[in-house]
Amino acid sequence: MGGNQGMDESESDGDDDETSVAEAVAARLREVVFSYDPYDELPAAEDLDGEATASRSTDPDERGGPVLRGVELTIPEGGFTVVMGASGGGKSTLLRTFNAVIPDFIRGSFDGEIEVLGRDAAASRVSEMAEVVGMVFQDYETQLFRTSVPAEVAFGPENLAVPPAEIDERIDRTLGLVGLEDLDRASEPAGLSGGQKQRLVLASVLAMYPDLLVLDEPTSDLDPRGTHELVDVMRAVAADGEATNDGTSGKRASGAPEWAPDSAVMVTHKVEEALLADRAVLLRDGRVFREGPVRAVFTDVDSLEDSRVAVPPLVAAFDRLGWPADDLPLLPAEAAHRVHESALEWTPPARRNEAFRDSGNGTGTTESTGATGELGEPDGPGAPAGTGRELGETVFELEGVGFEYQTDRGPIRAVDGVDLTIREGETVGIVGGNGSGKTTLAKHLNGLHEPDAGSVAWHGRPVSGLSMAEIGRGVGYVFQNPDHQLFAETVREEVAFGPENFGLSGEDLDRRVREAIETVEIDDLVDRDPFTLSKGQRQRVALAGVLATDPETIVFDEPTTGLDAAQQEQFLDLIARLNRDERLTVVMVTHDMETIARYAPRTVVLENGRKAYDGPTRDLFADPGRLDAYGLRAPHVVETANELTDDSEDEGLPALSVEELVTGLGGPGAYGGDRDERSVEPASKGEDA
Amino acid sequence: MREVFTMWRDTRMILLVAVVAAVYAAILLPFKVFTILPGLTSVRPANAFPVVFGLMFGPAAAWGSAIGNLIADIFGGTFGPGSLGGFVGNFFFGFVGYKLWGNLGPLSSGEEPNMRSIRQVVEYVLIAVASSAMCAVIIAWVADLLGLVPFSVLAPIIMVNNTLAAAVLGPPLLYLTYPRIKDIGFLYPELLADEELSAAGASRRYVAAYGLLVVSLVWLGVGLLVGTGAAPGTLTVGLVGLVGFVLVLAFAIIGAERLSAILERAGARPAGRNR
Amino acid sequence: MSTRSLYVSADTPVHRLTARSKIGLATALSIAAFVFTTPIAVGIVLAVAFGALAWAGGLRNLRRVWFIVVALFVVGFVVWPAFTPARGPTVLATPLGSLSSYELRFALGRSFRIVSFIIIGLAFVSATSNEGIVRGLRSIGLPYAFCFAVGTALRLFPTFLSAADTVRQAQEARGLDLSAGNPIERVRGYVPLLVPVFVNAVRQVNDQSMALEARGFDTRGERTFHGKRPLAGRDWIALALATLIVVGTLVGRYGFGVGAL
Repeated sequence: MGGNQGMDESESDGDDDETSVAEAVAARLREVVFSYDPYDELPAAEDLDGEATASRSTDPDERGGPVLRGVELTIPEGGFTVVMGASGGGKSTLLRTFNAVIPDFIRGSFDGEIEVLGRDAAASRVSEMAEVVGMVFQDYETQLFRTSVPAEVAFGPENLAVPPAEIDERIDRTLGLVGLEDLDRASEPAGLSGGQKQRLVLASVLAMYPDLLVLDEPTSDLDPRGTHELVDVMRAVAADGEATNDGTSGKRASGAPEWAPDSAVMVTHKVEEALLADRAVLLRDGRVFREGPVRAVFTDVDSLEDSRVAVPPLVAAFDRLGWPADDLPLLPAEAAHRVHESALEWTPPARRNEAFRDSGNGTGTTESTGATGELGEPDGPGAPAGTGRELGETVFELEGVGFEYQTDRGPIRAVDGVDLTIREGETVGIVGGNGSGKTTLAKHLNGLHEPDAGSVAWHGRPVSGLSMAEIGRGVGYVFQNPDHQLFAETVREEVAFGPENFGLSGEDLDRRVREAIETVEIDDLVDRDPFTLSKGQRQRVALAGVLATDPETIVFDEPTTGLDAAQQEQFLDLIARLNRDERLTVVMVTHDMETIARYAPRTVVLENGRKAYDGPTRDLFADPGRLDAYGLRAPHVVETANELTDDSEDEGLPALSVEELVTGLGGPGAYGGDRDERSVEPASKGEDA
Repeated sequence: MREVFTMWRDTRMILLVAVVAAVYAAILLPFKVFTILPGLTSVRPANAFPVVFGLMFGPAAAWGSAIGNLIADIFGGTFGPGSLGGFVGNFFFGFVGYKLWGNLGPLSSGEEPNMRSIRQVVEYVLIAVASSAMCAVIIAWVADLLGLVPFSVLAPIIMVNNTLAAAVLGPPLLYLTYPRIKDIGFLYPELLADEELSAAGASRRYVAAYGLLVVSLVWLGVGLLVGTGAAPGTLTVGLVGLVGFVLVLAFAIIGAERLSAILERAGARPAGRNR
Repeated sequence: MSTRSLYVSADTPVHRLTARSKIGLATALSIAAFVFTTPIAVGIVLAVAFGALAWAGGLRNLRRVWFIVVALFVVGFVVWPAFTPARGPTVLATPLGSLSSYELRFALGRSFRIVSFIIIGLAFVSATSNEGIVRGLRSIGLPYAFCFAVGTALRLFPTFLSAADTVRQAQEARGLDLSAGNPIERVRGYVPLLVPVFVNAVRQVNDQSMALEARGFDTRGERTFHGKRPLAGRDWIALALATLIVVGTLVGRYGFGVGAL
């Protein structure tokens, strides 16, 4: 298997052995059952019908009961297959069988047959399978082992005993393919950006010239720019970019170099990425629930919901409009096209609910309906959910704030002359690409950083004059990764750590801890070890630990990273509720555009440490050109609405949510009118923890 | 001693070495509780790591501590011939713990080092003292041989720094981390098979454990007496060190670890684990 | 203290030597600093070491370590007379004790030696990248798995440094004060900092091992080595020079008593 498939698919090359020519199968799994518990008594595959029991945690390493429960699957050669399913459904576990990580590296209890590229994977060592299967995992930090870029790329080929002379060529080729050819060859992987690191990982895997490329949530830890860069590369590797755009599921085009892998399989929970593939497999309870061409699977709303996979937002919107199930759009251009061809009229949301700009009460109705993304705006459901009601006095006043980091290559100006005013009760999103300075800026709000230039005032008092104990009590900071703060033996002790440090004890402490735990709804976990909880639960514990200090403002640094779609939504809803009900001032540092579209009425964009935009989120999204310039991308719903608005030449604002898009197009059932009043939730429902 | 070499066959153990080394260096360099002699010696919380890691990761902690100290030298600007002493000294800083745990007869708790009982804490503190002393005498011996700093100046400083950090921080760190490391299956007896671990009968294990304990303390004591000129005669610090080091190697070779058996008795490790 | 790498990214003649040659030269100079005991002889070695450091563009690293250098020098100078017999004329007399010329020269020689070691090491580190250090370990015959572990540790070190810094900030934001209380309390204050750093690091090991094996890593398999550089002319010259230094100093010191007190 030399990865040398011809340009013409019909003309199979001669040196492949006969079976693979005849079958053209990259991988075939039969009755695969697997449990992480090495002492599990495995029932036969056919007896494993009902729901998977491994639901205590979303950790794939959960050691309770079989995770794979009789998988029957064939991955055709030459295709790009995406695997989706709810957390705990066995996606990652499934991928690990392709290169013998299961059962060679992770023993567990295994049964079944796995044939990958003509090899018996169940009886092979991981290092043997590495000759034909390349694997990219989610966390780039755990996949880089060497101290220079070329050494990293050379590492895999070295392990396969490729002659050094040939490795040079592989380094050049793969770094070129992933767009890192201009990188200083002496640079250390540790110093690269997240996006660069993950592309380096991909190059390092491709340099082994695998026939099958396996990707396990490769973009989960990346910002939009990093995601975009990687997706572009994956498109080049798969060389099948057009397939999803014109809706045809086809064989690979001739865009990829001949040494690139023939086939690819990817697990992801990002719909946008899933649409890159040509085939989709939905897993549910450790079995294949639905498979087929991407378009067919992702417009099959029932199957998506049943397997608890996010419905693409445009599919959700058009399904709600009553669009025929076999003609639902996946991408913004298709959606706009469908509207033009129909009798639907687009009425953009009007400006009437942007109260946070004025000091007064901007809207009459402030009572939330409770549902996400609905504020009860006068003419229909609206977004964002964060706030919209009257704002109080000024909490933060930043003037000309500047901050420099010292690095090996000299000082880097991370924040440069930023003025910012934040008022009580606001929800403000701070966005920007990696290295734009958003986290650095946010750390000025609670005194973790002190400005080199300018000033930061909190309630009129300079932060530099306050002790950590003073400001820490008023301003909480929830770090991106909850694991950066959890240490105590139980959730209760963890939550009590902050208030104890701030001098609380006895009855007061107990009450504060209890209230915080109740607020984030982890009452049943108080005596558990935080480390055994799911990522979403750990995020809640971290938040409770901050809430227990009773702050009036909380800064969230990337609150959604590493959470799956359902966990993200739950967590953000919780933040929105705190803002609404407790009048908590919320500052959210994020790179997720959906998050600010749905939760932050006001957005600050940072670019190279300078403030590039500060105003209503809706206005920001109204100008796609400006977003592009900032290196940001609007969500599909916004993009569609903007396209419709442009075409209608109406004055108007973008729609920020599925609800607004549906409303603007005439409301549920507007197209057919004869469809059930069934509500399909947008892109993030149901993947329960 | 076998596991010190056989562990290099196992991918997880190799990466544990790297991770232990990197974490040790990353805490060692920036964090100090207080400084005793500016620029030279301070109490560093990281000095609790080799002992704590040693009990959990066995040989991977010994190698990891050695490499971690080397990296701290490289990044801290103190890399040089003296780094050799730091390498060997820190190796034994991490090594002594897993050789002694469970092998101290009546002084051993016979339990896993999860710090849930007073007896465990007593056993741990003994081990922390022995490990600290071992590290101190080896580093000070090499520094003295190289003519950098006299043994009797350096050994007590390192001894105090290490003991303070290891004895004070060790119990709470083990209390909070041991159950979690066990839970994810990264204790060394869970990663290594029986044939990769050294085996020895009870008497040999006790002799080796007490041998290491006694040698570390006696070496320190005699070294100080000789170094300060309090002990008369022809003994030199170099010679004391040579005898001490040979004895340490001998006890290291004849001894064996005990945690695997403790885990087996608790049903946490299958008896006769193999590849 | 800054924890950035001391490696100076440059292309000096010192940088261009292979790691093996640099190790050879550094070892030779260290041996010279070790066998000589007079301040003048060790001082010459020290001067050479400074020259090498300057040639490698590493003088700026002195800013980072000057404090340690001075402290070691002073301590050596203060401590060694106490461990040396008094001989020769007294050069300094105080109520606490007196300093003989022998003690003075001995202590000065020792202090120069300490500083020489530091400067030699600094010159090596300034001119050798992390990758070069790993290649150097390999080239002097250490087993591959060991060299790999050192390399991976060097790769992970900056990652854990920044993780530790983030954890510190996260705990300080919750009111942890690392500088409060009596010594024991202050040591204990590090528990909330050390536990997350350490547990998270170890939790990564499983994923790392999986990724490593998926890249074909196998301690039992055959492998090739990319980027191994053959010794160039300058390396042979360097190694010859190193040999010359070792032989010269040994013969000079033990054959003719040069540089001995």
